[in-house]
Amino acid sequence: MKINDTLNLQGLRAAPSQVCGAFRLVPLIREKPCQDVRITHERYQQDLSRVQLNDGTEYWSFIPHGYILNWAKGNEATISFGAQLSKGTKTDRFAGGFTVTTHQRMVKRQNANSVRLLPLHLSMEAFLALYFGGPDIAWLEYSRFAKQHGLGIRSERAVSGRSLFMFEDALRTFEIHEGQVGVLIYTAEKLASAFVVPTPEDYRALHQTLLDDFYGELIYQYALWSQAQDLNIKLEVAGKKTLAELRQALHAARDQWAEFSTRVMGLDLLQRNIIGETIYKPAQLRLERFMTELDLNATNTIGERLVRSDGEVLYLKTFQLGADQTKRAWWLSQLSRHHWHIGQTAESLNMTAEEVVRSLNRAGFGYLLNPQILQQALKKR
Amino acid sequence: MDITREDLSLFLNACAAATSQQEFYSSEQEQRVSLRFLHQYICGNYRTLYARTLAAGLNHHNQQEVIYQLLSSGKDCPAEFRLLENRLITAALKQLPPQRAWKLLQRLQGGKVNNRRTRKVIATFIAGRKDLPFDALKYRRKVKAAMQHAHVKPSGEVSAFLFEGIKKPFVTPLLEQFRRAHYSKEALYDLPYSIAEGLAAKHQIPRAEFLKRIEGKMTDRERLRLQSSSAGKIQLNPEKLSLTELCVYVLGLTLDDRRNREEELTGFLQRSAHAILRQNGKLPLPDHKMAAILDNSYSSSGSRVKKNRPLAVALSVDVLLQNACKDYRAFWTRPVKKQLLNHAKGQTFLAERLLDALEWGAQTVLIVSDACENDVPGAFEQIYQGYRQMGGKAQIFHLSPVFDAENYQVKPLVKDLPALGLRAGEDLGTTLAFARFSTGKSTLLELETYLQGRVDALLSAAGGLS
Repeated sequence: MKINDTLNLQGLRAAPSQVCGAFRLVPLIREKPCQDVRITHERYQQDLSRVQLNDGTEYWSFIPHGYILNWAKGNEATISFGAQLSKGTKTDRFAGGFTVTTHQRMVKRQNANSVRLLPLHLSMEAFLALYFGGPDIAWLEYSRFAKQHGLGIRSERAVSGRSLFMFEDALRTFEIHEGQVGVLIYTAEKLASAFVVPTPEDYRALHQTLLDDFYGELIYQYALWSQAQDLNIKLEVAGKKTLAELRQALHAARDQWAEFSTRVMGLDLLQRNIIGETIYKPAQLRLERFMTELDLNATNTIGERLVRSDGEVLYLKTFQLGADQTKRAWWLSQLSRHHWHIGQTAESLNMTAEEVVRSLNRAGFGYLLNPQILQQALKKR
Repeated sequence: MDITREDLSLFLNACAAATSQQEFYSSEQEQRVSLRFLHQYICGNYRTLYARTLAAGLNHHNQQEVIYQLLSSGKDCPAEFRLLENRLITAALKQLPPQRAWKLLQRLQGGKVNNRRTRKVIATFIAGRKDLPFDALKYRRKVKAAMQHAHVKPSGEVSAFLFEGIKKPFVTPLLEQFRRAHYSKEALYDLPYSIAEGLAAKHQIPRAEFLKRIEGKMTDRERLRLQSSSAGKIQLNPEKLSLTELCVYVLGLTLDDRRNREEELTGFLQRSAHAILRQNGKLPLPDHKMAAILDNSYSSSGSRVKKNRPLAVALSVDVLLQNACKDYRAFWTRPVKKQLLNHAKGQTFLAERLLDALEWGAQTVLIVSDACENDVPGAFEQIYQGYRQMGGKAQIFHLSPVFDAENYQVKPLVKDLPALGLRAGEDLGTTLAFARFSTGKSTLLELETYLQGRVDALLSAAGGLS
């Protein structure tokens, strides 16, 4: 994790939102058309996917589709498109028709100017691998398992877009704008996810795949809220004398609305400080995965993006962490900062060591701790 | 009294657009429940007026619903009105397309609506059918259900056919052809297309061969239905279609097809528009600058069952106005170079188009849209109010091809600018004339007189059957 940056929507402009159920979808339009990068998707039919990572670690998940990222090299005006090789992707069939596909790496080079990447899983994998090694000094407080295997098998749960109440309707009835390249998804007026691709054609093709992606559990709860608020914008029409003035008022309202839906309503995500790492550097671009700086009082997000050197966002996809997920990551980061020493961690947080042990247990890391110490801490309460 | 007028115009207005079919924004179930409630409400509160709406030019689906409601609540009918109501039902039932009429009778059986009047109505209907053997063949199950339900058993061969099957030869030619077609492939081609179709499958005749030989027996509507699946092999005579059907057909073609056949298709549309104007007379519109704001956003693509219907209505209004007005201009929400190349795409962008139309100098503006605007939501109303405050005088009408199930009415764009339901471009004249009732400029008495006029026309057309 090296990059320190803020999350922004440079090069994009918001248009008025459309509402269905608890969902508010804000179209994003690219100000200057993108000529040199494209994204398409390829579908996978298997029940479960296994991704083999570099150091022998494996990432298992249901992965419905991957993206193929194509870019023009240098000054070429066109990008090769259509014939994609799916090297490094192999499907095994088990008894009972259960299939597993093996992918090599999250981002896999396909040929000179295209890579295959597994959207969202790219950032989810990084999130799961956070401080994966566990304690680096054999403190007494840790269980034998933690000392031998670190965090062991880490898993997180997420909700499929298909199980979000009315999300399918919201995507179906959404009227895609001319030149639209992305969308901000609000649930119950809270920014849940952002999705941006390079060109409008890509967006049209990928719009429905939003349904196949996974979302945070909080979004599932919010979607049940079923009614978005009536946020009608007020036009300054009083006292206008000519049609031109009315038109001005309309344009002003449109700008104001765009400003409102990105700046004000997107506070939890946009303009937040992020830490991330660069995964791949195609041509003049950077493919990064990132996580917002952990803040227990706000909603935190992980995601991935493709940016130009001038900061224009070409591809962006985010996943909102739930409160419990944030807490788990936060505790790991606190422990890591103090060399996994529970006493020192407690001191820096103004807590007792027992309280820290209990909190770790609540966060789901009880298995890392020495059973005796854990029992003592629980008894003292 | 005012509530009565409001309720009734709301009802008539909703009925102009509603068909209980799936729409872009609501499911079939929502549409059906909402519309049925509206019918029950009006029937319960304004029965005499409700019965008379049968004559007011409702679409067939709603006529069916009215007849069903009336027959299933016969007890509530005031004694002095009974005779007229019976005559209205009989006349309206007779005028329904046969498949709808028979379906309604079957629904009566399903709903267990069985009383002396219902039986009498069914018996009269059956007695009045011109070609009962044909009906018995084509709507076999429905006819049988209606007869069983009303205890009608016509003597002779139809009865034998329905209740005993095709064991023995018939004297009636059609029934005999049908019987023979069960055993011989050749006899099949003597039958009407829709009846032969099922038997062709039974004899395993290849589709292409069957279509080629049966073509002479097809009706125009059947030809239209088969256009896409037969890959243009079946010749269509568009002159016989209504303007909106023609528009649906045009919008169903690919853009390349439309480009290649531009001249021919434009000709079809123009001729159809002229025919409507000749038949219905001038549109009730003043003779000055006319503009139409037409919605071709993505939502105008309709639903699976009503593909492109809202867009087709908008297109038909465009064609009609082009031929009816001297100084006319169309403002599509997403501008298109050629009228013919329209397709549903993009967002609903009404407010700015209104300003465009007014800036051009339009004195009357017709808006054809489902009123779900989203760029910026609610902007249209505010721009409209701003324009009125400015002292703008242009007349503005809003026509909507979609019934909004949630609000039991056609969704208005502006609160004090009522939306008018519009099912097809060719109804434009009637709808605009009806605008007077909706906008509150007329009294209930006027509405009643209007309805009475239509009732007299219906009853005299039905030949004064009692």
